Amino acid sequence: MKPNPLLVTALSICAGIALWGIVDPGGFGAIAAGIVEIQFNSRGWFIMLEASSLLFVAIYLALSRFGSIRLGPDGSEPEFSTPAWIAMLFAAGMGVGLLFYGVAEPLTHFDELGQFSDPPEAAAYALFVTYLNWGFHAWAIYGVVGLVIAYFAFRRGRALLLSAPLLDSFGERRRVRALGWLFDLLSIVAIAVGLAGSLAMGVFQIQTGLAGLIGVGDPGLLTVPVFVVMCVGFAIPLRRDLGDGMAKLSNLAMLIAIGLMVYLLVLGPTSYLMNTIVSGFGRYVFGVLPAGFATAGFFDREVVDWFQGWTLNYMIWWLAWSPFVGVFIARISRGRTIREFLVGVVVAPTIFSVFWFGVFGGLGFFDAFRQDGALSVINRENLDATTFALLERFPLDLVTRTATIIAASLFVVTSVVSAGFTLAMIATGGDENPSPRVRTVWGGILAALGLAMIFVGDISLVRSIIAVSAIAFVFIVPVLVVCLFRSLRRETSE
Amino acid sequence: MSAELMDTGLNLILFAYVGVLIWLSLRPLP
Repeated sequence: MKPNPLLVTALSICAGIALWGIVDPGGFGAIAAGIVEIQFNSRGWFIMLEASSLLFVAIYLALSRFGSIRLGPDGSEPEFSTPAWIAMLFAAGMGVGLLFYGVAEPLTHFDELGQFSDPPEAAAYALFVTYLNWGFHAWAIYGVVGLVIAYFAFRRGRALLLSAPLLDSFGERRRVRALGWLFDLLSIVAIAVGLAGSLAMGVFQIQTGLAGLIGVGDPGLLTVPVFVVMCVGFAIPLRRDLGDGMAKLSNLAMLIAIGLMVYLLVLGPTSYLMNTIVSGFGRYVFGVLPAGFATAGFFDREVVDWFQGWTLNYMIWWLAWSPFVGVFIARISRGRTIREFLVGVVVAPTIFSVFWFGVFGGLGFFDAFRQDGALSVINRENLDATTFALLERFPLDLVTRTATIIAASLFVVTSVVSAGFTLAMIATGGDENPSPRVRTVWGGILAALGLAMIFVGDISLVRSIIAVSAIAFVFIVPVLVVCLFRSLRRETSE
Repeated sequence: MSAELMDTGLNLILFAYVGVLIWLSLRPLP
């Protein structure tokens, strides 16, 4: 077998990052945080401008004459029925992040904002910011990147790679090929580091939940066993093909999460939660466009840090995951029109986020306003523990806490397996059925990177590391959009 | 002083990048 330079380079870079993180987690985290601070201070305006522009690009493409172009040959039919497709989009958006931040994020914002405004206003704005971080902008980033990948793959017959739009729009010249190669390499690094961060976050949450469940005082004692179980869990499906087994597991995780949300909505203060959702939704929909341009420029350092640590970090985070999620949503959307694609991808998961954070955040606010406020105290001490502390206040908490641990484990395992496939696909130049050996090697790299993140230990440092790996995407994504518009123009002028 | 220089430098790169994007979009189609 001829060694593939992209595969070898990508593996070496990722292995190098993992090794550095494992040997010197403190220095690794500190350097990442330093780079992120410089980037966020001097380029924050550009990142917000870009996220907002991508939302406007999505709106424009959906409404313009380009909207009726199909992601496939003219006259082709969608591969999946619309309900099945929307269910799969939900699955793409769900993940361990929602379980982790469902109540923790609104409460953290509430805490921070409570220092500057009265509590009701702080709660309303806390929910607004959470929606801003997880809503239309996130899905416009995923949607536009997914659209570019799908358009060039299914309509122009290219591979599902980020180099494809460049080669198609600017010709197969040497310089273009070199740039395309760099795009593929950077997308591999961003996917690997992003997924490893998600793995670490999953392990933190699962160990905390498990420690509470089986009565272990220090969750840190469970890190190694939980991590090993996760690794075994994703090694098996990477080694051998389980057919649609992974899709079933991912659906199970999604059903557990939705079941949990409905359970809390019904058993919790239902009208209070519906009030939260409706008022939060209205405020979000009518405030989202200007808020997307906010840069917190006139505020003091504390507010700027908060803004950079959350909103700005999220926008970078979505950019980091956009090649991974983009490939997934492209794959399931063959045969849809650009209009259908963008409306489905941007609107459906956002509505889900509105419900999700409305229920979980609403329960957090209910605790702060109508009960003893103990959840806020727990949240201040340890973000990993907030979801479980919330569940303990409801009946059958043993069942719900166990279900949360199972769902978190399934989310971690299925997304690492899916990432292993995607990484192997990109690294082999677009082979849609990469060999089990390459997949397993990527599984190993993801595990090593995950271990590095676990050693770093602090969730905010993990977020900084993901942000560093994604900085290149701030520059790559607009180029992809230019390629898309050039090809669309060419197509409609022919 | 050096922090300000770096800030200016990083932003100049951004401006140049936006220029390249505009140039790429305006190039004639092949």
